Amino acid sequence: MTHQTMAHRTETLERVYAASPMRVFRAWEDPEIRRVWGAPSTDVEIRNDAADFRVGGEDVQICMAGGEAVAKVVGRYLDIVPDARIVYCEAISEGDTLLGVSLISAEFIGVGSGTRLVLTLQTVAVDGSDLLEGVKVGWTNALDNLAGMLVDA
Amino acid sequence: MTNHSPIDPHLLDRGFSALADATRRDIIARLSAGEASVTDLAAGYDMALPSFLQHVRVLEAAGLITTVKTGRVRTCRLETLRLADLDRWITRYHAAWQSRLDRLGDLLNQKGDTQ
Repeated sequence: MTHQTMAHRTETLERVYAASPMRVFRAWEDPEIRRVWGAPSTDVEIRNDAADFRVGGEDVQICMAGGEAVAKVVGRYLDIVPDARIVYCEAISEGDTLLGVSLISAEFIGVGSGTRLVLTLQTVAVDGSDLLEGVKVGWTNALDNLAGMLVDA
Repeated sequence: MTNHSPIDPHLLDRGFSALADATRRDIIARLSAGEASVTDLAAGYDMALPSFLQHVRVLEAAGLITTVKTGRVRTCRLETLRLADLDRWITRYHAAWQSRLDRLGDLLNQKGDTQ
């Protein structure tokens, strides 16, 4: 499969939690806790097919909606500093088609008795071959329509 | 960040006028199969390179394609539609992270600070 088009974005999200960095870190470390808050939306449930929270370790999460697997997220941990930092990447696929890859850097900063979480997302979305076929059809139709308009004019 | 801003009418004019030419429509059709270098594209047409480059510039000015020069090779690629779709995917993905972090906050509040 060739990926012919890419789009990139970097974004930083921040939250302040009334919990120690240790507790916030643990919510990331423990796959069962993470499964609860980590679903991409409320109608999606996460099934952990693999969880290995250590540098080089791989997580495999299946997003389930209505009992059906809708997406697969494969994560790999690149850097872990307990209670302070997690860097990992995740690849999101639908069936055999890769949709995108994200580098996720989470920083846990103690503020008083709470924690400021700074999350930086660096994401690339890629084109799958089947999607590209859709573009060709879309453009062909658009150009046919345009040609028709120009003839009528 | 969203793609719902109204289309600039001048850009629309430029887009339609760029497509009102058989060579330029053909270039768009060829780029829909993937990016290509100006040299490779030009080889398919019976015209001098400067004339061909003129077509490329018109398409680029209309925002229909972008070109990137790496060393001595200038590569063209289709810029519309798919990029907007990919961008929307990233927007949804990043928005999912926003709600995740909110749920994490709810979870931390529920459990109380036991550490």
